[in-house]
Amino acid sequence: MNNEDRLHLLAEQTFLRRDLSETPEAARLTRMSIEARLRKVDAELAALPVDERAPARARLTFDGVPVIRSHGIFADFGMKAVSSFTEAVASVAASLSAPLAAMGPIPNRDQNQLLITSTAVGSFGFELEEYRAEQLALEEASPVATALERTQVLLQSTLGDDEALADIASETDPRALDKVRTFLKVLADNNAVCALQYGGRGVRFTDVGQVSRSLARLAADNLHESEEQLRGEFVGVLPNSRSFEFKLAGDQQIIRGKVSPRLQNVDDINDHLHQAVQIEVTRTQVGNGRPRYLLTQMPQWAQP
Amino acid sequence: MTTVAIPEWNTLGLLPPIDPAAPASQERSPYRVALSDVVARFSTSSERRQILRGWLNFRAALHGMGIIEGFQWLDGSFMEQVEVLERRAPRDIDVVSFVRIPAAFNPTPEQLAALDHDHVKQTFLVDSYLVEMDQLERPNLIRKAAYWYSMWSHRRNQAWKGYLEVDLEPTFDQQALDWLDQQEIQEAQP
Repeated sequence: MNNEDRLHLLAEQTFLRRDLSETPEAARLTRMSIEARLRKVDAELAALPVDERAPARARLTFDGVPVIRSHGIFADFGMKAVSSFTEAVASVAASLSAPLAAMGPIPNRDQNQLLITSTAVGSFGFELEEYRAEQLALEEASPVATALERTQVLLQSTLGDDEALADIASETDPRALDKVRTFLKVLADNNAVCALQYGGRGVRFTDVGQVSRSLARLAADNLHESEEQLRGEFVGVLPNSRSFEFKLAGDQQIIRGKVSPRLQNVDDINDHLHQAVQIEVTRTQVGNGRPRYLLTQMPQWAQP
Repeated sequence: MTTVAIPEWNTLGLLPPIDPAAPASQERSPYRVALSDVVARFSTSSERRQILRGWLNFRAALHGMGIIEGFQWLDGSFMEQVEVLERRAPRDIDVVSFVRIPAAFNPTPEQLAALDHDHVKQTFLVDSYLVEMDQLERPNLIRKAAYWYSMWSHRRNQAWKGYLEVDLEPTFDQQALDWLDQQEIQEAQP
């Protein structure tokens, strides 16, 4: 049962209530039937789980050479495109809990799967839904939901400026980033564009040139990443936004960065402000833009 | 009433909304079909035969109250290949009866109780709704028909599907019951 089902039930409930009020008292059997139907709808609505989270759903549609209006999509392209997209999402999801190895199978692949539940009306594409054997509590965001959101932000940022791209790229695992590149390359190689709708927001590539530009901006030679060790001291950490300020030991320069989503108990860093420490970060720079830093390990402070 | 053959289930396990075997035909869902065809086509398991028997007994209850004019729309998982789609047997049959109430019909409280939705479902395995055609202004009647068509012509996943219509008149009901009995006897034989 999803939100769409709920809306259909609410619409039916409204209809039945009005219909009952417009059905004459003389039509006793009809009124009994409407009342019974209304009871059934009321019961279904009342039985809807309120403490369970609906599965994440996204709509991925395509246009361009491999797409014949809203009639169909060449199967060969459609399979490759959806496969590379789901691979990207699964990789981003897996990278949320642990760094991805450069090679080998993507961890937890079977727990971060998407179902194709329908074809999307309009441009040709697919409705995708995360597959979960068990429901999650309402407050829990699943890795797939987070990964869909990040993938969407990442695709959107390839259409924006270097600053926006650097922000999201710096927080994305390099291998997951590469999977997103692969998805864009499938589009570019087949003269196709896509639109991704998720969580009330959408990103749309309007022409193939735009896809190629995005791919170039994500390319390894435009997006410089390096692992670095920095010495200095934390000035402060915001645990909810997972951001930090760090004063470098040498030139007293203050850098700002993000904390990897893999790290727990971020607030603990605030117990060690202004203590000399060495930290492990990933430095990401898009083009000649300002570098971004991602804290990848919890620092080890010297015992007092 | 002229009736048509019941179309085969399509690859979605549903009755098609138009009959692909006769695409130029004027017949389309709801297909007007013969009672005996419904019984013959859908009596493929003991669960289905039990539901068919319940439905025929429900019709007999209506007939016993003098309600013999009208037609029934048949739908729900009973009209789908639910054994394949959901790996289960159907639990009941969905029926909307559009009826003409005889002039002398003045139901007793017992008769009304016998037509109560929950009672009918429990007793006859029929998810039953009634629409009294003569008691309603035409716009109201049309609205109800549109409502039921809108509810019944799609699955929850938006797949478009067809359903059936049978006449309410009782001429062939006993024959259908006898046929079901025969099926049960044959089934019981080693």
